[in-house]
Amino acid sequence: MTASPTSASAATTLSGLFSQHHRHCDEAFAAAEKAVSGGDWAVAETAFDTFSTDLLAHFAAEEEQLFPAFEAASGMTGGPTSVMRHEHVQMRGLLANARQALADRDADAFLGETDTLLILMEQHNLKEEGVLYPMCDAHLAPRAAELLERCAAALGTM
Amino acid sequence: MARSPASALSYDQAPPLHLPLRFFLTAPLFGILAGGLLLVRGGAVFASRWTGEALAATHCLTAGFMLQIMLGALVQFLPVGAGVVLPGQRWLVPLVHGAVTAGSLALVIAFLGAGQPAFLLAGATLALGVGAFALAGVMALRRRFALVGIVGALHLTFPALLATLLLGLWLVGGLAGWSNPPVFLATALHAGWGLFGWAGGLLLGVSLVVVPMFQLTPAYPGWVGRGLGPLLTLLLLGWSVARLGAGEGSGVQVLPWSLLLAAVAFGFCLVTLGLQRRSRRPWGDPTQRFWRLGLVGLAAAALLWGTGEAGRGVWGVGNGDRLALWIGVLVLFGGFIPVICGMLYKIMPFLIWLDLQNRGRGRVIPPNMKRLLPEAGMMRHLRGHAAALVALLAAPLAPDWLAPLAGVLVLLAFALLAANLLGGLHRYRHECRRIADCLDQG
Repeated sequence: MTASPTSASAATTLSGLFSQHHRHCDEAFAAAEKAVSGGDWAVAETAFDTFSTDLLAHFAAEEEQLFPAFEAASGMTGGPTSVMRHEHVQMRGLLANARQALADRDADAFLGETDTLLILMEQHNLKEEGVLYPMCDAHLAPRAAELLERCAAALGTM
Repeated sequence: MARSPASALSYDQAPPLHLPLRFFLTAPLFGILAGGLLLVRGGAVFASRWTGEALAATHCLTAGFMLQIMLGALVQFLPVGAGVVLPGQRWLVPLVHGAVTAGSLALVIAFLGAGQPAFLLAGATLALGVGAFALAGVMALRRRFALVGIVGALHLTFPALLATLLLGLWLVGGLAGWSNPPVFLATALHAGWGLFGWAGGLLLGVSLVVVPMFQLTPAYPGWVGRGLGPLLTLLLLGWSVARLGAGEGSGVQVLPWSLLLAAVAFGFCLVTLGLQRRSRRPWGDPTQRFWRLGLVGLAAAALLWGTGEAGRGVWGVGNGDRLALWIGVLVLFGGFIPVICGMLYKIMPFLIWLDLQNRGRGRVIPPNMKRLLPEAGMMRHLRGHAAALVALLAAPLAPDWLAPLAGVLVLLAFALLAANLLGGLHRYRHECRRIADCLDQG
């Protein structure tokens, strides 16, 4: 599953596109968590697959498209983007733990992993939306249209 | 908002674990002290809000408990929520912690009759600790100017903390025999700026982020995010000017401002409770329950305060000490403290997890947050806190025999909080050893 085309296509800035995709990932996360909490493992599997696919696509779009473009334009290679990449690694680890707990049908372990993942993910989103994305908008303005198209494609929103 | 490269780099400087943790581990001791005070001198605490014992118990909860945790949480929240770091935080934070701890303790002892030297020590250390933190906060935020949203609320919070401190110092100066402040007026302003400006402003700023993003609720209505911070600031300024105009009395010109402040606080609590009811996360974890209890407590306090002010201003009905005590109990123990505990039960295990994750370098995986700080202990604390709140609300009716009971329950509730936090610390140390062993073994 991908982000809703209507919401994604409404984005006219890089920060808008990626922020909207954060909210989209939140939706899939909530569906998975609620299904596990209610003991509906089949729904949980589907919802978690959706969430996992979307989150990994988000990381890939940032690491392969947005961050390199920002680093080239700003000259900042060891700053915010390096922190964000490090947090992506941490989130991939939690995602793998949650997937294992789901396979084991261990609701407590799953909800413990996803609770940790949610806090890490949201404080990560907060930093991106509050600081990094606005910096990307400012530094990448001359090539925003082209990047917007490539990033939207990488996120699977077009 | 685009920022200079140098300042942009600051947001990767997450504070080391020991900086916020020292505040979190000290705070419950002041709660336990408040419980002990109620147990031993409960009759005097509930005799009137003006007794030394009542002031000592109040400041155990405000300066001793709430302030400690709010400062510790800000050390963590400022880089994440506002993208700024306190200047010189590695030396500043331990200094602030030491000064605020010593100052709060001295203030409590002074209210219990230790006299002028204790008031002077309290004034000096609190001025140093709180003043340094508030000024550092103002400096950190100077390049992130905004009137609305999280940063806008934080711009209200730090000046409000300074105003609360200065008014408190004025009052302490009076108690130490150095000045002669108008006590009722200065106390009202001190409490107003402390509760609406500092604590309320911080609650607003944190809620705008935490509720939609971390609790997965719908977004706040636009007018709350954009308008409430500036509105709260204007109302607090208007109320203060009216209060100053009324002098030691509480003239009728203060009433509209009081009612508007009460309405804003009540409305904000209702809006937040409404959003939390629509959270997409499964209901029932201790954090959600602490938040709900706190918001209901704050809404009830705002309603009682507004009604009391209207009764006094319009109908000339005296409030009486009992109403003031109920409002105080609801604002502090029934309002801000449960919300703070709810937040703490997410912040503390997350910071521990993050520290362990970095220690493990991706090769040794730490236990998740719920294993580091189990929910069963938090639920015991919640039940203890709720029981203590009921006893505190009943205590003004028969202080002599209900206040000691409330004291035991308050003491127990904070002891449960301390036990939970120390349990988390114990598991953290155990995990540090395990990670070091695993890494040593290659």
